[in-house]
Amino acid sequence: MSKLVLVLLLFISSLYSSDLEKIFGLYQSKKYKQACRLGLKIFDAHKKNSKFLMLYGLSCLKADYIDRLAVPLTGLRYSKSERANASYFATILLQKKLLYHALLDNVDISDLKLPKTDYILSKVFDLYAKKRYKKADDKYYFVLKDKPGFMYVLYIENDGRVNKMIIEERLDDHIIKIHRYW
Amino acid sequence: MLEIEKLEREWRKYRAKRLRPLILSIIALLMFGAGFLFFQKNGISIPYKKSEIVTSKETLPSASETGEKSIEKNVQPESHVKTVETNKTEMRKQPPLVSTPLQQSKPVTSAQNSVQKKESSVTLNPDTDFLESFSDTKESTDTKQTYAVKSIVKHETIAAPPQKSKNSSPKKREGNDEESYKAQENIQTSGLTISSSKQNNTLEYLIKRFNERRDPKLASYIAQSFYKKGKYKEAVKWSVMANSLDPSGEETWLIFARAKVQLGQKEDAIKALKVYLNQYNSRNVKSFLNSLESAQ
Repeated sequence: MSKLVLVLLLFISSLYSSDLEKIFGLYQSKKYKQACRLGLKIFDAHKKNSKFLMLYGLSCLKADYIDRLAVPLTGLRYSKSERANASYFATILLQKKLLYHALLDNVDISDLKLPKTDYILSKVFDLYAKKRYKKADDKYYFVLKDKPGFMYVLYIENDGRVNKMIIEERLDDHIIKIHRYW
Repeated sequence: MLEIEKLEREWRKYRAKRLRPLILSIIALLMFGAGFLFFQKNGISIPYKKSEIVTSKETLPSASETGEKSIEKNVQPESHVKTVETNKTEMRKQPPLVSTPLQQSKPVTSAQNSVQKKESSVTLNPDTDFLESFSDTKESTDTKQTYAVKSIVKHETIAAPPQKSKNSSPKKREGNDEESYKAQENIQTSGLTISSSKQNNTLEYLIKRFNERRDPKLASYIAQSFYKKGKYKEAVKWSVMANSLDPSGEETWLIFARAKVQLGQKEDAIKALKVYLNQYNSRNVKSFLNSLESAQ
């Protein structure tokens, strides 16, 4: 009987840890989209584990799935590290929502002063709020002083179903990366 | 009669002795389970490092529990209508989100100005120290596992979408799918001329530009692109190129190490990361090195 309990316990713990290892492996090999999707699948089983919540949040953030940050950040409160990441996620989520609102509904957000983060959406938000852009054909062009040749382009794209906020990263007018948010 | 009592006592002792290993194993199991749950919940006690919230002049005020509750109350208008009503007057004083963009900016007092300056200096950074506690037990094989995650989108370096006319048919676009097309646009505004040529051969263009400029950032981009495409040998080659031009670039060392791991040369990756850490301090590199070493 005792052996059976022991084996069962070990089996459950190995299952539990293998999920986390999988998601960590995906994160490390920069497969953020997969890591985020896997995190969503196993969320219920690990929602009390703060390290999982932070890893899941970071994966989704790097995969540009910003809305998914709303759920894990609510569970991060017990340590300094958790609170730092919760604030980080919340700031980016807020900035995304505000920027989307501002672009679509012509809302003035220039009075707002929010914290800065290293995330691209946050950088664009900051530049947009400070009105450091050139506007042409409903596109906003942000030239970066500290990165010569580098530029962000912000605009709304409508695919017939939903308006998407697009941020392009350009180097010498060549598109390096595109981020889509909606 | 006396003998029966004696026999009974001895029987009880015998039974207790027989059950002792079972009881001990149950206690050990319970302790093991409790310890496991404790570590899972609280995390293994890694000393917390500085600078999760970097502020130049002041730190963010930490909300007390009562403060948190009051915030929660304000967030839930259904159950706390009174609180919201009392706060209405305060809210009127706050600068509202204006629905027209071209309003003149209000004059800002010096006090407000100083507050704004302080606020704008707040920079939040993610805390990735917790990643060190994870052990990366699997190498590249884990990327080929069979859990139900659908198609891998490898390429983040992509070309731009074609400009659609308003009448064009709706097309679902999810994430960073690579598309190939060519488009030219020229935009002219007052004092600004923006011309952009979008091509599907960005990587070729970057290589060409690198040969002209020898810019380590370009080499880093190229290495990253090759890594994402699964061309690990090319990624190694370009990360070495980038490192030779700028040895302090953390990202290129990481690409080099990751590509080496994918090629099955884990020891080379560990050596390289150690060499980097001898000269520079990097949390990401440390974390990756730890995970590689713990997997060995």
